[in-house]
Amino acid sequence: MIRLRTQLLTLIAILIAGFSGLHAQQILVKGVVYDENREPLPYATVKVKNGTGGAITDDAGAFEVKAPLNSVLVVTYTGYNSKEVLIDGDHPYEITLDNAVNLLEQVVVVGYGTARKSDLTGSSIKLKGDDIKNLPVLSATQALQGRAAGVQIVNSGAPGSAPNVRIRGTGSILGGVEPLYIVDGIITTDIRNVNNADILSVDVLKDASSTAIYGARAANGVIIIQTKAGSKEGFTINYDNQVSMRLMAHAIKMSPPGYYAEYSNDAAEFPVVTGGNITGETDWYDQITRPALGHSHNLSFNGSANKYKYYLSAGYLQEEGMLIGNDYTRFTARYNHEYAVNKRLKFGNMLGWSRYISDNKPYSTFTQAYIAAPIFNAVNPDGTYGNINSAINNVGNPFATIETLNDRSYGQRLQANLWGEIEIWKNIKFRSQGGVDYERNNGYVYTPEYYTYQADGMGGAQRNELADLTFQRDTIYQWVWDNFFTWDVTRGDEFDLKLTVGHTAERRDGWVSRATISNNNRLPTASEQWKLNFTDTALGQQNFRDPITNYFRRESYFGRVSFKWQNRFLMNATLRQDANSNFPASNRWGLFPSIGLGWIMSNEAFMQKTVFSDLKLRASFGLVGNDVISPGQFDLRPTQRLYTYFGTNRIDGATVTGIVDPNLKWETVREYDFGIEYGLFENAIRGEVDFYYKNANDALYSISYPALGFGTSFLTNAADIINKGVEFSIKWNKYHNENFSQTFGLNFTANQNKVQNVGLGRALDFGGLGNGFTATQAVEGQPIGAFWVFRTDGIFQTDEEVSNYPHVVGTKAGDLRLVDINKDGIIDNLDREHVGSYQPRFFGGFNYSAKWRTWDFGLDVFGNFGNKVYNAKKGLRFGSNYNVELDIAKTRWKPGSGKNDIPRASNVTPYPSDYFVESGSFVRINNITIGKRFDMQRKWGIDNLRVFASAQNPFIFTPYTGFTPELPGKATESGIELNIYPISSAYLVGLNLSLSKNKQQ
Amino acid sequence: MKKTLNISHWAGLLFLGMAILSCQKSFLEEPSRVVTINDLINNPQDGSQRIIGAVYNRLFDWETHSFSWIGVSSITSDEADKGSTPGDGGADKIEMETWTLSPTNLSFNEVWEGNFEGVGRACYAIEFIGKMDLPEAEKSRYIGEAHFLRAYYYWNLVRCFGGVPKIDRVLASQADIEAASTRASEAEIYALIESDLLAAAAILPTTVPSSEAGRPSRGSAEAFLAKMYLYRKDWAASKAMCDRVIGSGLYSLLPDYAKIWREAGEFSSESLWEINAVATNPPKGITGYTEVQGMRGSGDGDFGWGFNVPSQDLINSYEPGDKRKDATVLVSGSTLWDGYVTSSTLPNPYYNYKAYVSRTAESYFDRGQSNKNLRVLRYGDLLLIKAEVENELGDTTAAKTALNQVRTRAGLQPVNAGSQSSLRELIYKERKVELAMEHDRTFDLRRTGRAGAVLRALGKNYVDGKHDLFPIPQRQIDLSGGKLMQNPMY
Repeated sequence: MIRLRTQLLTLIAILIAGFSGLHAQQILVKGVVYDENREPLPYATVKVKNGTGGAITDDAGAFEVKAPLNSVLVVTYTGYNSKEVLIDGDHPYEITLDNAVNLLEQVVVVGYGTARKSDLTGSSIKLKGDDIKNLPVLSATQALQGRAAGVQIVNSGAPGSAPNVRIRGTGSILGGVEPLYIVDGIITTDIRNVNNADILSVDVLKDASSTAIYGARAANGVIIIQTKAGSKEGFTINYDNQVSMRLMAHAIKMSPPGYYAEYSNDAAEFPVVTGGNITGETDWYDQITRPALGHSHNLSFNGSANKYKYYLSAGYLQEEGMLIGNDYTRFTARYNHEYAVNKRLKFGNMLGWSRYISDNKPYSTFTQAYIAAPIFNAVNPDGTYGNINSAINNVGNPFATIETLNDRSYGQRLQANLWGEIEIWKNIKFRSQGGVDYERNNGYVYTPEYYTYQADGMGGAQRNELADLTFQRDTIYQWVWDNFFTWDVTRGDEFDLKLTVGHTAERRDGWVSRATISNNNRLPTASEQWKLNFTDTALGQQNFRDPITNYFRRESYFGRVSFKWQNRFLMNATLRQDANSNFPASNRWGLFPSIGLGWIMSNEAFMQKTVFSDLKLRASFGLVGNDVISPGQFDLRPTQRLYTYFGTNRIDGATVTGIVDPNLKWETVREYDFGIEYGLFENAIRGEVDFYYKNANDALYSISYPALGFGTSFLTNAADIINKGVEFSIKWNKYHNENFSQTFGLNFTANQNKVQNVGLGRALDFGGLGNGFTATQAVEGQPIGAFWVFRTDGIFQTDEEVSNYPHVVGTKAGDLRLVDINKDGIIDNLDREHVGSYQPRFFGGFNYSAKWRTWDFGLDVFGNFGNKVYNAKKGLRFGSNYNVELDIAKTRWKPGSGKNDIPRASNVTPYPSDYFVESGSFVRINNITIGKRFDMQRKWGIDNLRVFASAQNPFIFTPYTGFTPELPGKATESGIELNIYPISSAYLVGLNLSLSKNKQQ
Repeated sequence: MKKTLNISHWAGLLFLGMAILSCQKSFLEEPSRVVTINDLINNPQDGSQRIIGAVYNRLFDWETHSFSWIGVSSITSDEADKGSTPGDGGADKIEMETWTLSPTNLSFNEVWEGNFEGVGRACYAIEFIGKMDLPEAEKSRYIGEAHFLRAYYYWNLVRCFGGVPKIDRVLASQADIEAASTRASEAEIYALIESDLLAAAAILPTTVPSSEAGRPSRGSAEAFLAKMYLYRKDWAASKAMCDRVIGSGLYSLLPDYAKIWREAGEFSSESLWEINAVATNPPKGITGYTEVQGMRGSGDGDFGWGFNVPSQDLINSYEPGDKRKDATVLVSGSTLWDGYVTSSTLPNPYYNYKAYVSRTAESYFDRGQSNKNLRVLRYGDLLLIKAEVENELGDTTAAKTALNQVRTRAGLQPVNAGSQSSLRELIYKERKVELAMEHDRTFDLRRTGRAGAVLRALGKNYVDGKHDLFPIPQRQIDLSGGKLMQNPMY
């Protein structure tokens, strides 16, 4: 808003200047140039437009220049938008330059400190909170999709869910694959408690030179989130609001009764579904889904007074899911504060609180609706739940499922960080920060006694004869305490040296309690259920209280040396020594070094006359770890609650199972990165290119062995996982004039993932299809989660043809022809092949934004290419007359049809084959936004009002025939569409409003 | 100015102090908060019960005694059809019914995993309880039970697969596993079963009080030995064990045959060993056992999936007046013993009455976890073993005495005359009807070498020399890296 007003003044001034003529007197103009954060900007150029004279700002951003009255000063600074200021008198001038797209002097957050982007030798990406806050997404990572090279985001359509985030590929089979999150110094794995409107910045650290300071947990990359900490001056109130509606992005049309009956009867080869069985007509997807509404409100107070800076906010977000009854509500509150006692001593806190209420419905309802017979009513005319004879279709009534299940989770989380920083000696600072993260999550699942009824009044198979209630409470607390020194020595342009050394300790602990009752008579009344006592067994409850599975204690020492010489050569080395209590004492400590080198070529004399305004080469190498592994993997822990009764006396049986590797350790990843950062034409075009290679050469692997009573596998460090790839980004910032500017951005990533050197070479099977088969493997030479299926080559046209080819038992004319790959005359697992995985070969985004006068426009496109999806819903039909897609019912093989793509109507469980494997490629318009800003001239104290409308995911272009090719899941089995909550399209309107009381006009 | 500097200094010292405090080495020692195996060993009173309890627990699991076991031991035989609806193959139950068996059939793998897990738990019990500081009597009884249960799990394995890996101790490392991943001979497995049962018989008490119902007695082990020797055709040894059990005077036939499978007939005088399912809360039933075999009705008449139904061949096998027929075959559209009237429009005409649980007249929790005890060994079986071994040893009089006890209870006339060979056939036939739907028939046919003739006569694809054993699960062969060899002709 400051800029806007200044621009307006400038405009008026220019007009006035045009009239007031040429006879101007020289005056001495004094002023200060600031950047957008109100930090003084040294080395900015101040020139008189169309005249002589000029100056360079000093360290305090100050300048003095002689200029004629009513002339115009042009202030420029590399990478910033230049600005023109009318000289209308000899008062002091405060000029603020916009850092619209400047990457060069961006201050980025690094582990235990900050650095200028230009001084880094590693690869990282920064996103500003303002770029995220207007998107209809719950957590900041969802907004990274298509905006950050090297960062793959797989979103879910379920309200309240977190996306899958993979930085530079999937780095582990059995260990963690999600990046490490650091929210205001607190290390965490879940950021759904952080309100996007409170976020100042999101920094994604990608290579070892950036991440190795986080040692044993850095292998999947690090995402640092900082919340807003208060402005330097004045006082601002911001209010942001959105109202949205979500629709299913791609609906699937199931067969109506006629086609359903025909298909089922053909499959059974006798009439199982006859007119008499058809007692209604229900499109189950219509029945269980709805257009979902959502809205959010955020109010914040941001300012400073004397030695205090503060940021205070409250947020409310309410999101309906597309499944009826599925709702998510979140409240957040934040109080961040900083107090400078004097120049040397500062204290502060970051305090965030959140509470959520989530009414859950099972994702499996989407699959239930897919397979349920369409021939009975969801609700009978008498108001009871409909059903059908389970001998015809035993799926039940999806509508009754979502209506009768009361599954609510609710909880709160407090994240607090207290810090103090003191300058002990010249440029030697000591900082201590302690963080606490306290979480309480409650789950309440209640299913009342209920029945369904067939049209003839007979009771249906779907029923719950005993009301049951489960109440769960997880209490988790975590603390972290960092203490570190920094020493910063600068000798002008000659060198700049920064040292950081420190220590950190961390602990996580907690309990999971659960109580279950299943009884009609003794179930407490609804109002009493919430008070269910975990220790009271009087109600015949089953109770238990267990430690959380991911508790730990960690202790680490870390250090960093950053050295810049002659503004040309950079060196950055880090070392971290980490210990984790979850590993045996003999194997607990690990050392994680990294080194990065950089050469700012554009600062060399020979580069001065080129188009390159910036050119930096950098290379880094480091070791990082992945220690996300639950405790107790290296010693034998009994399995408990193996009940048995002697007479009526219950014994809580316990035994150990399996063998363990007593020398188990974390995965160590070697990471290499080579990068080029470039700027062309005064940095109007900027970008980065990175080549990386990551090798986890002691990746956790589960070596399987026959079932002989001692488990079937054990966990050990026995595989290599390689990720290699290229990242490219380019951004063109076209500043036409103060009324019109455009930005074009493009980024893409190509990644290759491979498992190698597996111990004993035994593959691991994953990816259950819900029909007894599995479809993915972790296996040597393939990417993690490779689809492992039979090949098909068309359809058997006649029974004679069947008998002439190798086939599985029960194959008939009209079935898929499975290929006998090894030509041994038998179709068995030896004939299965690996046909790609869900991991894309290539993904990227295109971003366009424009500002024209008071209008703004934004477009985000995301593309994902070269991966595969297994459409498992299509393979669910066996036995019980499940429904089929209308397309399949219509166009399937029939005797004599000669069709060679869609098999006959069948009740036989289909073998996993390439028939179900489809391309997962898609291009999607992620977001289109149009906004208009109103200059309120401080009417009612309002500085700025922006209203906007946007569409999230309005269009997708994909050959995939299922709900969505975007399928979050475990690394080992993602990409199987089964029980998935489809991605939605959201349409929203919103406003941003700010009121301020700033000193500056 | 001076004052604020002091604050700074104090703050700095405070930080430093805290930083030093946080460096204590003991910080990383996370005290164990979960039960470890040592906690069990060091609390022998509780720990021994829990460890032996886990060996029993495996008897209740789906893999061990439910759908797959029903398929392998019963649907394969002439006494039962697959049942259910034509379209519901129950994964591989059509293959079981028709003998189109494949090493990749799920059922074989589940039976393998279910029973081997039991073997493993028994090995742990023998090792860990052996280490415990317990009164000798208690300790040896638990160990005796572990031997008994290990023998039972192996008994199921050896009858299905023939020689399997011989596990008689805890495997503690990958090297142990790799070394054990080869098949022992059938004789070696039977030798292990024999030594386990002899050890159990020497230790177990002669009677088990009702508060311990479900634990084996000496009679359980002896009857088990009698049956095992019968399979080995060691007639004399089998007879000796039969005589011990009969001579103990502790067991007798329950006059009402039908009552054996009701709650009121649990642990009756006829019971030699049964698996104690309980339907109180929390329930512990054999997961899915009654549900898999329950009437496949709709609405209130929906008792389950309707698999494993008595075959017409079985029904034809009953002599007129045999009370056992109505106790074994649940007829659709009839009134059951508890007054429940079944639907006449069920997809199958018959269901397994021995798997029926009354919702009104017996303890009932739900379909999945029923109170249905599995009657593994009972006196009626033992008397027929006695009859068979006496006949094979040439004492047809003693054979007829035992056989006729069984027939008389069934309401049939005693067998009077007959040569050894004709008596043999009569005893075989009597086993079929007396033990129908009790997971005995397929193994009995194979044991006596009649499986091919009997099953082929019913149109099943039984191949002699191949189907005398089930295939080793392909999954286990794969997991062994090919070290487990497949049975012939698969």
